[in-house]
Amino acid sequence: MMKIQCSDFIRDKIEEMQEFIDRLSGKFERVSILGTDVSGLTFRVSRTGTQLSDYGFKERGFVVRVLKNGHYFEYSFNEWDEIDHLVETFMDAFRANNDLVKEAELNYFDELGGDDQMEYESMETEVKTTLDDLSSAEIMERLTHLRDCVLAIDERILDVVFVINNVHTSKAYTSSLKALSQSYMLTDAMVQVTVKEGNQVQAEMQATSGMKGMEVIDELEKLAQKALNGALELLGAKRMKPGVYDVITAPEVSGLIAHEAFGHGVEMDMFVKNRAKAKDYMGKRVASDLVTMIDGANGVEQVASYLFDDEGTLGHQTVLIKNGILQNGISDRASAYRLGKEPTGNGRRESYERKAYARMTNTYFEKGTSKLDEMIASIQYGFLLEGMFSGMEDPKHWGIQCIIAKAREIVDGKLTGEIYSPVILTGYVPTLLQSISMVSDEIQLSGTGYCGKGHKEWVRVSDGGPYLKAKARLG
Amino acid sequence: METLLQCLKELQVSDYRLVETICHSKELFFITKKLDLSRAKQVRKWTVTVYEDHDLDGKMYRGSATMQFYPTMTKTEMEAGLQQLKEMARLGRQDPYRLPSGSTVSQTPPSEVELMPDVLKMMLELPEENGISINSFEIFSQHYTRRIINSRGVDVTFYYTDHEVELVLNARNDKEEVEIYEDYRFGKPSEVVLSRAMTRAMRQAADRLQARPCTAMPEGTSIVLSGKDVVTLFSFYLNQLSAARIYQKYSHQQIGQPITEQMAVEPWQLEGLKQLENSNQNFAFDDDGRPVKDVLLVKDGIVEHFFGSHQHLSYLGIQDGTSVYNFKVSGGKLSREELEAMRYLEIVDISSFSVDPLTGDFAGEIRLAYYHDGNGQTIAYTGGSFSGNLKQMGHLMRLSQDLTKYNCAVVPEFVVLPDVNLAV
Repeated sequence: MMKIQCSDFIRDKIEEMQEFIDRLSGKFERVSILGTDVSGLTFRVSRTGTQLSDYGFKERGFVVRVLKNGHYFEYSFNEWDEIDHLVETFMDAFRANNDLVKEAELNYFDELGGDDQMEYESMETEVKTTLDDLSSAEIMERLTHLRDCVLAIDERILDVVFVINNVHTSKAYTSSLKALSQSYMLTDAMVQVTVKEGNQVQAEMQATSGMKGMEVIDELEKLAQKALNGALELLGAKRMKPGVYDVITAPEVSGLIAHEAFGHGVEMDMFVKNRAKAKDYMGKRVASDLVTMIDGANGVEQVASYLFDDEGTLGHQTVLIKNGILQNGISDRASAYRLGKEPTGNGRRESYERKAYARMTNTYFEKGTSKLDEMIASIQYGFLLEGMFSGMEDPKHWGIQCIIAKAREIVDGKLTGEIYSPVILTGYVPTLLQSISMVSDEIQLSGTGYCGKGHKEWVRVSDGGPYLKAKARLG
Repeated sequence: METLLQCLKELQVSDYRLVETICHSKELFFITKKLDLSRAKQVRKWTVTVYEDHDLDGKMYRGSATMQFYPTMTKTEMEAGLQQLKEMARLGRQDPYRLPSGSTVSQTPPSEVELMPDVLKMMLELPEENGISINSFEIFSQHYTRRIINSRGVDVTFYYTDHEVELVLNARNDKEEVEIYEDYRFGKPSEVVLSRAMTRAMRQAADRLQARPCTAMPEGTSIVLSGKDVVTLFSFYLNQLSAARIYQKYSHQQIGQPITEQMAVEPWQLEGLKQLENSNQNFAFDDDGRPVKDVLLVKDGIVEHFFGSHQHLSYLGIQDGTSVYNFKVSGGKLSREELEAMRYLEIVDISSFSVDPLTGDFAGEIRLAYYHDGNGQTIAYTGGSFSGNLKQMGHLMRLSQDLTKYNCAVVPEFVVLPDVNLAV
């Protein structure tokens, strides 16, 4: 196993970051600085060519946050200078903001504060295979060979695309009480197969992800075959007849539901703004008693696992729902303070250039005791839902929208072989979750996508769970 | 930047593109109309793409690789990065192409105009009455300088602003409270445009409060989309004309053939526009450093031109093309009066509307829709979902005569869609 050490850039900056904090501490009630250095490579191979590039979400920079008279101001920058000049640049930005606030005669919402505690921690994870063990040239050669093998399987294949993102994240957070650092590697790999028959074009994607290294490449052959079979199936897919049906959700669909229904629904900055119905349901039943749901940067090794969040709060594992009863929300610092709670380590930024919001990490349903075949056998007419395209939250009204890749028809306890695609699942969250009547005994998590807050602020998340049997409106 | 250029020369990189992006921003975050947090940003980055030509088994290929560089890098780090880029580019294999040639052109820098106060004033002056209030809003006011240099003489500099306003409105009566979420993007703020958008949002917030759960519609009810979802519909067709998608065979569009699967019942026109008032994408130059031009993409329902990067256009044998950032669709034949005489469900607020770029499938959850019975009566509905496929029925769309504008697009005010599934 190879240890993923903090980048030289971050390591070399930690002392200067502390000096910067010390220089500002006398002027503000609280000062902190987050330094980030995210680097990586993206390998892309398709029918029309191959490409090796920098990871698209690479970043290197800093965000300073200060508290003055109970109000926060943040400044993001990426040019590090002599400390005197840095302090001067920051103070100019701070004063310019004060002038703007004064001229516009703005009133503040409230005054923030709260205690902090002394914490000195660091984390460096390990992976099996890095680019020291497997060169870029070898990776491209393997992917190219795999592509050629897949293209040769069926003349209906229009394209096969392999993408691997191998990302190294180093972060340091410094304040007068804290010195935190973390370094970890995340790798995700996906294969999309596109097929064409006549004028019809369909595609299916399969993926893998986690706190892993380049060993993911070993999983791609099997995933490619699965994607090909899935894409060919879609050529014969029918249009869904709208209605309410018994459904079984595959882990990726269960995860999408967890994410959209109760992940976004319990982001506590929404509680502060009275934008989440869940606020009034703490301690009350929101799901069947088979349902336990968890979110946290701890407890699993996935793409949203970390030691500390982007506000310097250590990562937690939060039980959102236990046996159907809503227990907790997830918070950033400000929303935790306003609600009289401890922050849960969910204060996350898209990058050092953006604000921190209460965001999900790894969100999943806990496993149950049923077997998939007995769940299928229990359905007279319904569908097994697989693959997800997108979802959207509506915490205020507790609506949910999930666009799902395919539904496999079940009649009298057996899969008929008929496929319907695409499928939109909508409904009222408590109705959907309270209809859950069976939960399978294994869970899977995946995290190849990004989660937005509204239509912006994109962060890596994972979600998943077991197979769930429920009743859902499909269209 | 000078250090990077020097390193490129010393490493004898013969073909490259270097893009410098500088961003200053101010951001304000409000809960109700009270300030929650303020932010500022000053960031400079460079993106370098290196190109290497090589042959494999007698066939020529061009490889490219792109990397980001930062002001905090030393010259040694930059050299190491560029050397890595050269090696990465050798692993790339694409059909050959040449970079565009050009010269030094610089837009006049804008005079120092701070636009945040204008946008802020508009937001703070939004009325709150009749049970409608502001829950929260966020303003991002960003100013960019971009410079693109390549090894074939291109050296262009241009400036643009990008504003984003996220707004959440509440409507309240004795029994409940609902919200409407809006997200606006624009370059220069327009009080008229913002005010019109806010007025519409407030009306919808009030209507959502009265809305009934969506039920099955009477037979013969048409589905109508209006507002910025029409932009999403036509973005599907725009995407189909991208040279990259044509080259990769994800799109089967051909010049001289109908843009829709069959000839449209109401053939329409689609143009790419260099400039559109208040757009946040009025770029003087594209990512290749080529001047952005107006282009007629579809005329009377027939494909006239493709658009895209220099690389992909050259693969299609098109040398003098352009990228497209703003677009305009022509109006159709349907007046609002003719529409009002029909029975239709106008879906005005959708959770997240999208059209699959490959299949043409579309779907969305209905947050607010208005049923019009053709005799002047209107009922507001919420809930349920709708779905359809543009490839199957896009040629049957009927378009409004009147046009409307959303940021970087001008589109028909509404479109009538046949063959749409409603799930309630």
